[in-house]
Amino acid sequence: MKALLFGIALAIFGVGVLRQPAAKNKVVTLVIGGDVLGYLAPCGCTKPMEGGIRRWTAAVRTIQAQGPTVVVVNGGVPGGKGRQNELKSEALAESYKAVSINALNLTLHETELGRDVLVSIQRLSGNAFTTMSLEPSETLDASAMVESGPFLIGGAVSNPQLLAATAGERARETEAAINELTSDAESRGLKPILLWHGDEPSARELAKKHPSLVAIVFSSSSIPRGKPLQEGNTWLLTPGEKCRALVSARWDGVQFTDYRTVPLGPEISDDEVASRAYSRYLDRVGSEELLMKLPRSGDKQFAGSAKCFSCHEKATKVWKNSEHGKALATLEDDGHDKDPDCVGCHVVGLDSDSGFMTRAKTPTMANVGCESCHGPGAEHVKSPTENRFGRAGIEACMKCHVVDHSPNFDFSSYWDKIRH
Amino acid sequence: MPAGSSPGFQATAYKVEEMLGESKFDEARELLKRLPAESFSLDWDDSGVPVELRARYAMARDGAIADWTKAIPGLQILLKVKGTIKVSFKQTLPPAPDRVIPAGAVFFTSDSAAEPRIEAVIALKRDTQPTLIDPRHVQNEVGYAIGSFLGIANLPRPVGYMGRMDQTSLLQLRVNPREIEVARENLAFVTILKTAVEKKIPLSPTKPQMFIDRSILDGQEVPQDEPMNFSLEVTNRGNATLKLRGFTECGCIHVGAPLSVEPGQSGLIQVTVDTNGLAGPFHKVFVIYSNDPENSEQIVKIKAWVTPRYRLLQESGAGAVVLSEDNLKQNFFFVVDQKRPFNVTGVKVNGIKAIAEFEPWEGTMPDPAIEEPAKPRKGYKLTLLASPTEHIRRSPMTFAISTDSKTMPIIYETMYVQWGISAPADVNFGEIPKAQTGLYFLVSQPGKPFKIRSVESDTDVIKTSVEPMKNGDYRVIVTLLAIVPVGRIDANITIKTDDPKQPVIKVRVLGIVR
Repeated sequence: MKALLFGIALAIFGVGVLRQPAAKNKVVTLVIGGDVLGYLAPCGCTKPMEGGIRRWTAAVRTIQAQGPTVVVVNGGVPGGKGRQNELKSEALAESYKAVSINALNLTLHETELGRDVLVSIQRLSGNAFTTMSLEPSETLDASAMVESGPFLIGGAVSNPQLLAATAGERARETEAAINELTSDAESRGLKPILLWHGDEPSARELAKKHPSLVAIVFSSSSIPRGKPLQEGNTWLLTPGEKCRALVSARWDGVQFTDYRTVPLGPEISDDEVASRAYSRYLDRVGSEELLMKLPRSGDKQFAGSAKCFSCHEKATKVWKNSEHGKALATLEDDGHDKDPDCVGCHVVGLDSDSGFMTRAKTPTMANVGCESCHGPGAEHVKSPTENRFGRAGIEACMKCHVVDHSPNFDFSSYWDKIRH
Repeated sequence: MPAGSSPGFQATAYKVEEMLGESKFDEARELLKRLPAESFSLDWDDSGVPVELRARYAMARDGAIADWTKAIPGLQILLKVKGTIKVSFKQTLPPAPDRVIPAGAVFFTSDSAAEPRIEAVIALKRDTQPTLIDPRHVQNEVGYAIGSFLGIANLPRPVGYMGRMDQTSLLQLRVNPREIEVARENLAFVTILKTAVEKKIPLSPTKPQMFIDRSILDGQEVPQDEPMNFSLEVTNRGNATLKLRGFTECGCIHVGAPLSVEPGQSGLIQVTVDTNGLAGPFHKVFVIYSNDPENSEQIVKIKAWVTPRYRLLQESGAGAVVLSEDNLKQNFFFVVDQKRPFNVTGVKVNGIKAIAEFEPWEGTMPDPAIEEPAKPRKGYKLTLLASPTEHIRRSPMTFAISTDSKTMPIIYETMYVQWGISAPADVNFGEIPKAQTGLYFLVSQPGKPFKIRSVESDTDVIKTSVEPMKNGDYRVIVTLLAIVPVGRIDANITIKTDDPKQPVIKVRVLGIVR
């Protein structure tokens, strides 16, 4: 019975079942994503944290349950190159497929991962790639334009030559591509939307040149604002970056209205399908031992926190009772203790040959230790008076307590918690 | 008057000052009661709330009260009819004048003793498709009402109670350290006014007036790792001390505030952007809060182009670096910005079996990634020497470049290197239903043709086939048959080639059937 119920639940919540088709000239909600840049989950060191693909997927489903939607993603899947970014991209692509995204703009972020990964993202995302910046290709079966509801959607990037070079394909000139998008849209009675992997000023220029575009989705590192930007009648929309908010706008058949940015806070339940994709991603990161494969250098010599205890009793007492003193345990509880993205800020010297390896191998390097803030201390341990230990100030905190991971960080109140 | 206090707080406080200026001490005393105090009351009217929800909403209210009283020791918030703050509920509310989304709550500030100081009316349903609110919305709105009574300005982001939103998002807000700071300063300011009223000290009413010379800071071209410094001139055209406080959306921006500017004087707000780790276009904003009641918030944009301090250029252009048996060497050019030079002291290779050598270099090269044409550049030539004993297929590789720069002692640069016949190490079906499903992957060796002799899987539930492509690559098609059992897929595909150096290539197949 349980299995049957599970099957039914899967049928309901599975791939795109809830999505209602968007008809031409009908009211439809345009949902915008993109530039996740590998931020699959919010780092949980301070509450409340915003963002993450599990919440984004859940929030998209909520909108889809309310009426017809068109979901577009403006590229920016991984945040860099390397194996972890490949695994992240696959997990994110699976989440995109879970909500049946209509278009995924192909950008340099994806092409830099290489053809093998591109093919994989393309399939796992439900063949969502779209690009007008490349000539049609045998290898990557990406659409130039996508018709969805009342829209004709095309993707382009600000540097098509580089996109082509990294993808091993031939570039297409931007102006010609956008002209084709707008004229095709007109002849088919559709409204053109451009997914533009470029900044706001360049999006404004394009809106001036192509006023029939009803919307341009552009890239921005800024947090999406409460009001949409406009250039003439073209709406300029951005999802921001790192998957912190869900951005949507309602098309009422004639124009966009009802622009929204919904911060993805911890109260948004995680989507089941995206959660499973995320768990599998974490499993792969662990089983491939990516933490052990991180580049390290021998330039810094760490001693380990235990070496400090005998001389610095007062500081030791404060440290042991602090959150810093159990920082690795918090990651272990969250299942992120093998994640190279997280561990560096929860241990001592992860980038050093003499730093943290595993809790078993290097127990005194576990947690945020003395040397995490004061710097390598091996020389100080050898000769404490000749080699003074570095003083730590706000700069030491800011290596980890950055806005992305610790939005409420305030030096004076946080220092009070570890004053020693 | 503190910067970061709300326009409502500022307006009432100035009225008190004006009354003191006119020696209207009794009226000032009455109005002073409208300003924040350590002890105040909350009138909770939940008559509009369905009975079954009342207990949960009351708990949410208590959560907000507990948050504030914990954050500001000494604060006492009592429940009382005709309290300083009144909270009530309505079914729905219309949108604010400049918005299209129905309001989640509306807040009124009153100077009249006959009315609550802050009246919050919370909509039981919000959004254009009315959705019943959650207790967390109630906590957020009560938290905001308390913050409003304490005279704190709204925050542009939901990082504290004063960053409330009308939307259905269930982000649970908390008291932000900045809110605590402003609340404390407001309470201290009210104490000063109280002393003046009690001692009947006539004050000359004064107001600051903020004038900022620019609302956009254009950094033009800034070298990476060099702090981007701006001085924003602020003139106080009023007759009271102008106080300023900055709020940034990025940890990379530091606004030198709080800052005070005396009447008739000008001051400089020092803004510093830490460009370490940034490269390319930079667009961010920050907010300046002031105690000018007419201009208590001003948004300032920062834009710049951060010129990278170093670049790693490939001899082979963009994309993966392709090595071959005849050429296991590849040159890279680590270009150092000569305006702020530093030296390379060592290079290690991580991810593949290889070593790297480095030597000073000067030459002419383009940088396609940032659309720079060929021009003279200076730095180091890094030579990658791959091991002749290992075909790496296609792998990510990282250079760990040690330098004598204090801010960038080690620079990591990752790229892909391909040598030999390349196929992915694994292919992933992801989560799929129990049905026949297919995928494909590519097998290639640029510049060196080869033949695939056979492709086999080690399980009956996977069938494989091969399609040659026009460019000499192969497409291997993997079909997962419907007979596949539910559970994890973990199989292997064996590709046999005519290349004596790589006769067998294995590809793992992953996925989960639900």
